[in-house]
Amino acid sequence: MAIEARGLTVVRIGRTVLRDVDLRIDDGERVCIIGPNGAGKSTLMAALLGLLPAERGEVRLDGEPLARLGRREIGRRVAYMPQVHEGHQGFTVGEVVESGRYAHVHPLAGLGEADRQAVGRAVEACRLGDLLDRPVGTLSGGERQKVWLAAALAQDTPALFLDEPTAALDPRHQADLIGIMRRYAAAGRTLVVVCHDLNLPPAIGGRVVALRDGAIAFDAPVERLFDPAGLAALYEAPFVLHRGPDGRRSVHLDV
Amino acid sequence: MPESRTVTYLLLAVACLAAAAASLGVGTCGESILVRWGEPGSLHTFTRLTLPRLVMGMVVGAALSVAGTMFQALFRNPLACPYTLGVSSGASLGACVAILVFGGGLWHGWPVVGPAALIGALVCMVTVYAIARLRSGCTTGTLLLAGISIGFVCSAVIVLLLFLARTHNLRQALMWMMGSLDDVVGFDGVLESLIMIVPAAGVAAWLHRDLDLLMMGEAVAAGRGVDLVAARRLVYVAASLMTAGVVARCGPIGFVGLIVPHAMRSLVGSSHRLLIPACALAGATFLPLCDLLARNAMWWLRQESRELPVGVLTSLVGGAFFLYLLLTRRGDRPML
Repeated sequence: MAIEARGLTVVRIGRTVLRDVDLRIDDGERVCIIGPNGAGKSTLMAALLGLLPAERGEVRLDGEPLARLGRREIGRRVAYMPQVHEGHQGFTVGEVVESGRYAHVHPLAGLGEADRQAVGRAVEACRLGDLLDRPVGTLSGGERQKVWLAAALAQDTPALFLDEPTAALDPRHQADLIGIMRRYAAAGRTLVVVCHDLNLPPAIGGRVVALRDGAIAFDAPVERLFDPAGLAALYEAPFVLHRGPDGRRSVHLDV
Repeated sequence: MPESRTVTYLLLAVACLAAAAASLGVGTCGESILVRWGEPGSLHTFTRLTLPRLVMGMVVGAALSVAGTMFQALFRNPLACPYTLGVSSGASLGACVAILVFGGGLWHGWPVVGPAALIGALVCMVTVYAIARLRSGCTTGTLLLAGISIGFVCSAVIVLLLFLARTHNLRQALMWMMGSLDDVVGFDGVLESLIMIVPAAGVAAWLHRDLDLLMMGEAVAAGRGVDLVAARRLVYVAASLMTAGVVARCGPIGFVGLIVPHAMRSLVGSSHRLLIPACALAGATFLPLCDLLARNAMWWLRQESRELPVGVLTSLVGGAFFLYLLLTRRGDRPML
């Protein structure tokens, strides 16, 4: 699924958070959106989905203006996992994952065979089979994040947007989520991830879009991250490049 | 549906029927119509007073419980209830104006209190929505603030009217605001309430997945494909109409819309597909039972043939039950 933004400007509470952003994400691409706090990463993701109104410019999904598509139709094309889950935690894991089928099911109908299969695949991908009857509120932060991701996967869309999916997770759950994201993208689907963790883009591959002050600072292949000077200019913090014994590169904060 | 859930719903249905049977069996002020069955006028009393009051109690209990569930999902807050947004204050203001200014009773042969309360509730509902929409395209936060503000304004005007009122009207207004089923005569009132409640219940069924997702969080809901503005508007209007249909007829009967959804959530979980029917059944059980106690409390305690307004009892029973749940519930189903 291709997503294209042209001249996208978003104003929130009187402040211009995104300014004339042009961005094209092609079908099957993997894109990480990075940048300092307040650069407009989450706003860009929400605006690409039509969750925030654009002051100027437009977004197109597969060439169709977003404004012409209903929310349900957008929900059939793009799944979205927001950063904060402040919602009611009394739902069971199974109920939350099944909620991913909202856009596909008639309001008064139960889940059909295709819906059950999509839910089953999502549950299996996130290894939640043993937790289906547990209330989400009783799970650890890492398990909860997998539940929300499974619900987005159950939407079974050609594109998946994740806003800081690995934030505040321990290394094991981070590794689990990265594995799930890789398998999703390996099926040729579009994956867009907002992240602060600079280990994530190399693990996912594809492109990096760096935002600064509401505009695109650079849009380049993920290798561009291995440039400490460029990152230092983006984040106003010192970075250092490491090369492991196997030749793999990584960047770290130099403090 | 798993077997345990089927059993739960069967038990709820049996409880509802048992409450209805108990209500008919115990009667009013220590005397059941069934004991006097066959006496002249007993059939008339049964079909004009006893049965309509029972059915109205069931309808009101079910409607308030379902409306409470909808408001709790809309605001993602288990403490929201059908009266949070001031619909009951609007209805009370309408009723007070009818009683205190126009003397209550009849106007050109037509009862004024019920229609005035309905108009008050609907005007309040439209005003709250218009203010919220004007302010920021009707977000949940502005809806809540607008509702609470309008509720306070209505309450203040009610107090002013009560201050200016004559004594005999004052008592009628106060009794109305306690919430009661003792004015129900015949099935006309039940049918009039159902005209508003049934379509609203249809909306609740239609939106059961939207309600789940609203409860999970608005960003989550929008990402799944929920049209937030449309869903909020529909939930608000449907739940308000349901409340208005009840309050206009019986006054603001408190706590039912808060306690029943809360208890049912711990019994059948948070999914509105299961919660809404459970709330309807439990509400249709709880209110007739409270009404049974309210009708007989004064007789049992002091041999007095006057009835306690059921709203007083629902608040007492509901408040105590709420405390019981709070103190005994384990943390296995956190609300938030």
